[in-house]
Amino acid sequence: MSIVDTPERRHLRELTRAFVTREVLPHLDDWERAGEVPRALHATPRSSACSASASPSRSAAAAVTCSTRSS
Amino acid sequence: MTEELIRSGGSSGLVAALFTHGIALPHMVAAAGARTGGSLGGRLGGTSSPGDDGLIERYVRPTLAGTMIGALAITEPDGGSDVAGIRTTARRDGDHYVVNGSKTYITSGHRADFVTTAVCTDFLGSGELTLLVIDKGSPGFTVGRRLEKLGWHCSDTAELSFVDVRVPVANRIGAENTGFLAIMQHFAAERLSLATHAYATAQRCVELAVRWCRDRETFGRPLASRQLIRHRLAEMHTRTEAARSYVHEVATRVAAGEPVVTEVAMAKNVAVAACDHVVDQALQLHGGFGYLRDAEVERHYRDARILGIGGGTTEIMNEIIAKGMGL
Repeated sequence: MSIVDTPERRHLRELTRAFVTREVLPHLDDWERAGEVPRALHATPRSSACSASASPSRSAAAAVTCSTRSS
Repeated sequence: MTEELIRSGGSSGLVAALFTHGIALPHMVAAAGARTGGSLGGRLGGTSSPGDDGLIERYVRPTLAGTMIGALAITEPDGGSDVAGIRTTARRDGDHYVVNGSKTYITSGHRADFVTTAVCTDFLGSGELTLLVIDKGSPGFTVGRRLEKLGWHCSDTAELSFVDVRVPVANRIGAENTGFLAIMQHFAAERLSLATHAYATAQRCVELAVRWCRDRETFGRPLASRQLIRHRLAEMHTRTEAARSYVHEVATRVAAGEPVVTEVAMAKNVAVAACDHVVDQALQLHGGFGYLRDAEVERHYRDARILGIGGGTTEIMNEIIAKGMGL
């Protein structure tokens, strides 16, 4: 199985798309004008992912893996 | 995650702003893991030595929880991509380092609570580097104005200044003079990340262009019904898919532990070239609307331009590739 297409990553894609639709799209133009994203946004994807996952630490590890392995 | 954030309507700039931890933290995680020899999961388990374990507790965990923001500071006003030419110095004074110098183009530097900072700790001229974690608010540490940019508007960028800033030795990442190697090891991840920004931005722009060309009618027919337009979209899609496929292959090899420095450089350049072509064509196909701030494609056109510059320019990548060829 490809490392970029696992059940865990597909689930992460679904969570990400839901996060963007709900938390990003309504505000992105405002953040572009403001020159930065709000601090609170940094906590939002983690809390969304953690609430949907059995293990918060696993979500954190997945976040590191994804951002450093870039998939 | 990067791919999906961009494909679902986010942007490269959003990823840069939201995932700065991807470049600010890995050196700390790796240093803590090196003491125990553990895997990534083991490293996060917190079984490392007191110094680096402290960094995991004080910086890595809160940043992953989203309650702290970190930045990575390597580039200097005089230095560009030349890591060996870093002039910011750290002089040991008891249980502190005293840091002097300046950094620029620091992503999230304006909002960051701490900065993983590359400093020169060797004064014999061999250019040895060390990474220190420096807290915002440390006396002598000044964050300059927010730099205005062509793109990545939602991602703040800053210039940092250090004048006799005292940093506890406990804030050193790994051993002294190991910074150069640590930076080089994590360049692969940063470059693959930017390659992902590039092909994902291209994917999104192909989707936007296809949608536009189906809906937009000129001279009584949809744009997408014209062979010239269809072939242009086909070429955009082909270049994007080729880039995505190659970046995935190289990422898989990096994850398997293969030393593929040259391939990472090629992956970045392939993805950036595909992205540059696609954002330009996508904007052109949108016509006058594409030039407006209201058009999503306009943001991608501006955001894409940094991808051939950040994380090592296209030219630096070509130097790495040429060396890999034995030239």
